Amino acid sequence: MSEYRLLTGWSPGWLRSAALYDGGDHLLQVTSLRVQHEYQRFPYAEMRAITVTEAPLWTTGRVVRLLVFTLLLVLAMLPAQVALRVGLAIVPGTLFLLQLWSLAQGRRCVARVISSSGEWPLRGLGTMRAAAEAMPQILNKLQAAQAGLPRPAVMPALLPGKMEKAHRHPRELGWAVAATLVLSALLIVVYWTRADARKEIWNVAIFLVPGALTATIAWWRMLRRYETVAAALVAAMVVDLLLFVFFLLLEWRRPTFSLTLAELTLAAQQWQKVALATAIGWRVVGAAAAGWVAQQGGEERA
Amino acid sequence: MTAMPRCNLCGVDIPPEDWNRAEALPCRGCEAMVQAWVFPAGWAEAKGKPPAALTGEGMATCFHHPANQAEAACGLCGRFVCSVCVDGTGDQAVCNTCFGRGTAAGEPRFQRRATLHDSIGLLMAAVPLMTLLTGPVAGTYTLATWKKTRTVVARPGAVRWMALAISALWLAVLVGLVVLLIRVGGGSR
Repeated sequence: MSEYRLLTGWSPGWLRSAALYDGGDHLLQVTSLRVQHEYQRFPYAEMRAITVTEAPLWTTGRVVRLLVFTLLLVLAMLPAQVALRVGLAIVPGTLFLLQLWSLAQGRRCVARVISSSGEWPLRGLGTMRAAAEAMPQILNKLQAAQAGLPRPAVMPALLPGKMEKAHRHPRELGWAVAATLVLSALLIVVYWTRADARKEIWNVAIFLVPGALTATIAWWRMLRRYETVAAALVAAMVVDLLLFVFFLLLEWRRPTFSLTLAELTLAAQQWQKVALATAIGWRVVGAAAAGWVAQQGGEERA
Repeated sequence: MTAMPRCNLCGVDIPPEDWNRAEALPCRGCEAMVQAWVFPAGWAEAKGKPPAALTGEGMATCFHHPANQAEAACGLCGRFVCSVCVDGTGDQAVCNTCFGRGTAAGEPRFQRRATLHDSIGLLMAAVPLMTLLTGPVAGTYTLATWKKTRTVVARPGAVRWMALAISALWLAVLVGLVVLLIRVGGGSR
């Protein structure tokens, strides 16, 4: 049992996830169907080819799931009693957070291996990050296992450990940035229409702090991994936007429109303007930076 | 090469000049970024080729097909087998007979699947939140199958403890409700 070493984390999935383990002379793929494990073994000496294709992060299914969970969360917020709200929000809130976690795993990929027994999906390489982590290790093992086999002259040499570059061409970023910016602006306008909202700095701070934290985490991940500045910023903006939606829905029916404090001092009201300006400015700067990086990626690709 | 590497999204073949490149390249069909590594074994003969016929005396023959040339010796029983009869567990060639026997005996290296009894217990305890009775049932199931989950890779023991804890919680709620009902019934009389 202990002879296997985990190469990647478990790939994200609702009903099925997978992971790759190194078994010394073979690669073990474990597919979890939640109540059952399925095992596939690929001997390194018999593997013929591996292909990794980058897949879009935002698919129709993920967008629909996110919208449905958000809608359920909104419905859970409608009752006046707080206890009832919390009770109703547990399941959709958990699903919503799981979906966000799944999105935070970064860009997806589809990988396949061609072995002596046929062509098989490598579900353990579900994300580009997992592929970037696992492929250099797999290639090293493969090179050692197949060192004795003749290499035809037409076959290029292996160049492992260069998966990072595959991530520099985010194509749908322009639309993501535009949609996030427009929705964000609309939400701020809606927010501003509430007269009592303008008196409360906490309403802004509550969504700014998680937003800033998310941006920091995204930035850290970008530094540690291969993700681009644009992808990290868009992810942070989307999360921030969703938090803001959640916050608005939570607060809208309350008479005082505040999560934590009922009244504020005059000084706090002044700070509230600064906070709101920061929120808007952060989005504009983030969107501009994301657009610039996306453009650079397009030029590099062209 | 028996199967050409191809894009996993559109299925278009990846030409040899795009193999083993340092970075991903756009697919020629769908423009998705794709990277292909092709290994020396990809140029070797296919394992599933027809068995070679005997060409001369003194050559080892397959135990099951005397007319075929032996490809390997089974790592368990030592019999010579042809390409039709050989199977693998990752670390050694094994004949089909030993492979079937190992699978039936549940040996880890032959294991193809494992039932996760601890996850079943946890699902029974945690998912149907509105059903009080499934909690105690999940606890009983977890205890009954405590050592029956045999996976090839290491699995955290916390799953079954969590299942037990949640089911114990449900049991406590159930007992509490019964006590409450009895008291309310006694008070009304």
